[in-house]
Amino acid sequence: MSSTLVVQLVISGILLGGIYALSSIGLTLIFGVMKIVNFAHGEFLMLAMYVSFWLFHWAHLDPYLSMLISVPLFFIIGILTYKVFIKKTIGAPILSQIFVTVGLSIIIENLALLFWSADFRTVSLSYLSRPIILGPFSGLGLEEIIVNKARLIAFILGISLSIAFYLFMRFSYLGKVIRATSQDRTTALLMGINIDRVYTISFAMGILLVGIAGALMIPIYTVHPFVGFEFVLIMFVVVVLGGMGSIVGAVVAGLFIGVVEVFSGFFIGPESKQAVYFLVFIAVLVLKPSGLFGEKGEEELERIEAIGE
Amino acid sequence: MLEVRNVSKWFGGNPVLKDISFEIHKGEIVGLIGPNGAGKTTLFNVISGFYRPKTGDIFFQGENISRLTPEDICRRGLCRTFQITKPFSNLTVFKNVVIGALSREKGIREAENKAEEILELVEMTPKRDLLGRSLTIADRKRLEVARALATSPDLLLLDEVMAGLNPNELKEMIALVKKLSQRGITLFVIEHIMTVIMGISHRIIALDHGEQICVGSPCDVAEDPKVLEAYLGEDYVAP
Amino acid sequence: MSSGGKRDGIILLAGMAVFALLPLFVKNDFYLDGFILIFVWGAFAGAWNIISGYGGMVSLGHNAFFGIGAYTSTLLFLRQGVSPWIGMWAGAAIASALGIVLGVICFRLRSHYFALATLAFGQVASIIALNWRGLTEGAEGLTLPIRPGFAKMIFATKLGYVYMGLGLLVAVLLITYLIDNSKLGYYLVAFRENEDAARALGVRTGRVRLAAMAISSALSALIGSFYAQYLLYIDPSSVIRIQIAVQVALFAIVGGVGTVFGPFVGALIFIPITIFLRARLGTALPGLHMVIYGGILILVLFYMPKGIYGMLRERFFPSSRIFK
Repeated sequence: MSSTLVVQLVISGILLGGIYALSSIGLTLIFGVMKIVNFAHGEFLMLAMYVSFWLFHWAHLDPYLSMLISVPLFFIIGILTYKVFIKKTIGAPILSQIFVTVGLSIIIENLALLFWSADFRTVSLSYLSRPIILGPFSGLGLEEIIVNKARLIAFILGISLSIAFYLFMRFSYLGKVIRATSQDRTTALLMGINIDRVYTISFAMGILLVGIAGALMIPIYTVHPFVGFEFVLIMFVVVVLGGMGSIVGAVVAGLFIGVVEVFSGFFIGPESKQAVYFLVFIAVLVLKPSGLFGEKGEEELERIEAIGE
Repeated sequence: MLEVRNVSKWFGGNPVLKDISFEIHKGEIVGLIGPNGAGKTTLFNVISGFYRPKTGDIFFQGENISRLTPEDICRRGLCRTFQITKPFSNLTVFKNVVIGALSREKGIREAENKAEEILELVEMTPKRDLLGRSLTIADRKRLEVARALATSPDLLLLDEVMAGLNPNELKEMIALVKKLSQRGITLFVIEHIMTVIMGISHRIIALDHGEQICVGSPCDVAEDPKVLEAYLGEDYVAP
Repeated sequence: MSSGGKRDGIILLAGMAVFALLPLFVKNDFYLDGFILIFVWGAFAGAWNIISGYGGMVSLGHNAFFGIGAYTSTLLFLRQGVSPWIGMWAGAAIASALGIVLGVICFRLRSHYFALATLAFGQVASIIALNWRGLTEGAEGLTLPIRPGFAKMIFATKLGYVYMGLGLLVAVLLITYLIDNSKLGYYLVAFRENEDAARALGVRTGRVRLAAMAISSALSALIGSFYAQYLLYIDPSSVIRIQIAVQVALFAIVGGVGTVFGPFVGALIFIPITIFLRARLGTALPGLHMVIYGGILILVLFYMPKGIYGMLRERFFPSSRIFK
């Protein structure tokens, strides 16, 4: 195996991982704060891709600019989803917690099928069509390295936003409030934090992040009603590997899974690459269910008492 | 009947039980006292198998049980109740008790008969069809005892079954504990209400900060300066 | 109590008579297919209910067990000439063994994590079925030659399938009823309600859940084998894709989990809706029936958490020994 190939695969993997990282942060945030797995997260990503697609198709709006519309739109969608569906599942039996979002994913996916059909739709931007070619770096013994522009943009924006979001959670007042609530809800409540508002904002931010991810992904991937399911499975792997609730974990695991996917896709074949990261997934659940950066015991604690009791 | 030998337990870097050793004899009522955070419930968790001790061993009727699971310990005749009551919320009181009885009884029918008997004994028969989650604190505590009793224990660990009861309920619970003792069940009891625990116990073990500071008859323990210090602070101890 | 028991017995017998006799008078194959689907999905949802409803371990990977049953009996027949009557038990044994392995690995995980682990398990099974072409022919699928014969479990008329499906459903209901009235059932429920309390009372929660998983996965595989014999053509999308796991859970939840008859009631509600919509709309509005499924699921979770059967039972048969 030539060193050029290795470098090429690692770069492709990391670029891919940046997208996974950004789309998974919302999922891990929602789980971390309200201990709910949003099984519909992939469908929100799919919706976001469609929004950018239609804005491009009907209004010729550049997908990167469509973020200006997606961000407030998905924030509002997030708030509404929380108020109408998610709020009722807080403290509810596990069956409701899982299947309300499963039901939501079924509805969104099939509404998309109903309205927009199963057609595969793509956005191709002329200014992105030609890849960047780096090298050759004869000093390092490397030949030319090809970098896809759309992926590079998605990676740079994705990672910058991830870092910005991390800093926001770490240093802003709101971020601290959210973290306090996710660590100990009861104490946060006693300190006068409005839990319901924290949940609303956290959920809405989780959806907003996936709204951004959708805009970054539409120049790269085709969108169809079932695309969300494909991505949500990867997001679960990333979030569990990184540790549910950990933003840093989601970023690191996202990059890692990106590289794993590119390598296994190259060496084992594109059809079976999914199997590889699912095996990683099961191995993590078996060996270290709290993930790389998760709080130990989280996977075994989860005993949230109902508010009413 | 129960022998705890040099047991210690750590949470992370903090010792919560330090070198605890004592014995409980058949037929006794032994009280376990100590201020909040002394390690009383942790000791119960270690004895009943929910935690593994870091060092030391626990013998129950001659057998080392310190590495057994809670379910196997229960099946050997050592059962415990929970301070924070854990009823099966969506099941009736009766079914809660039947589940306890199944650990010893062959079939459902036998367990149901046993459960009827136990409910009669703890005077909860009128409440047999109520759901676990709809019970008052007093009834939850009573259900904890009933369920544990249904496993036919030789040694019963009661974790603050009298906390939060009104004076009337308290009197009933004390009567129940005495009744259990008369039926030959050995009892190991955590309790905060001093007059109660001093009144019913044959012997008392006092813990403070994970250390066993005193073992003896209620009178001895009540006058032990270390116990007074643990509860009241050293200023109150007469020189 | 005894007169109530008699009433319940009569209702049960009448209900069984309807399902046993009605198909004899139905001449339209389209509706007979409906009966078969109700029985298959009712039985499958019942199998899911044993571990996920009674035991509270929510599985999103039961498509794997169903598919293993379908593929095992079909492949044994096609490649080795083994009768599906025997092959289905081989499938059950494999599914059951895998179920136990999955349980040993994943039972220490709680709720959401267990659901995610089973989802991954189901997805791996479906990827294998799709890509191990040497074994499964991948997306092209496997076709059973249509030469009816009892030994081959291929029936000349739909009625054969109707009654075999009914037999499977009755078997699942009976097994669930027996579990509900046994130590296993009480212990599963105790675990689901509160693990610590169950363990303190001597319930061996690990062993109990493994038993439930073994039964649940074996039954799912048996039903999968039968479904393959009914379709006579199987591919990953018809017997092992992940949507099957979601659908079986959905039927059971809407009917009522942790009850004997709830999952069957779920199938009884959903299959006619599907058939009606397919008959009325054909392929005109793809996805509409799934939107309705999802909507009903959420409404039931919010307003009837015990499911439709669970609610009816509480209203009409609160202490019935038959309608559990």
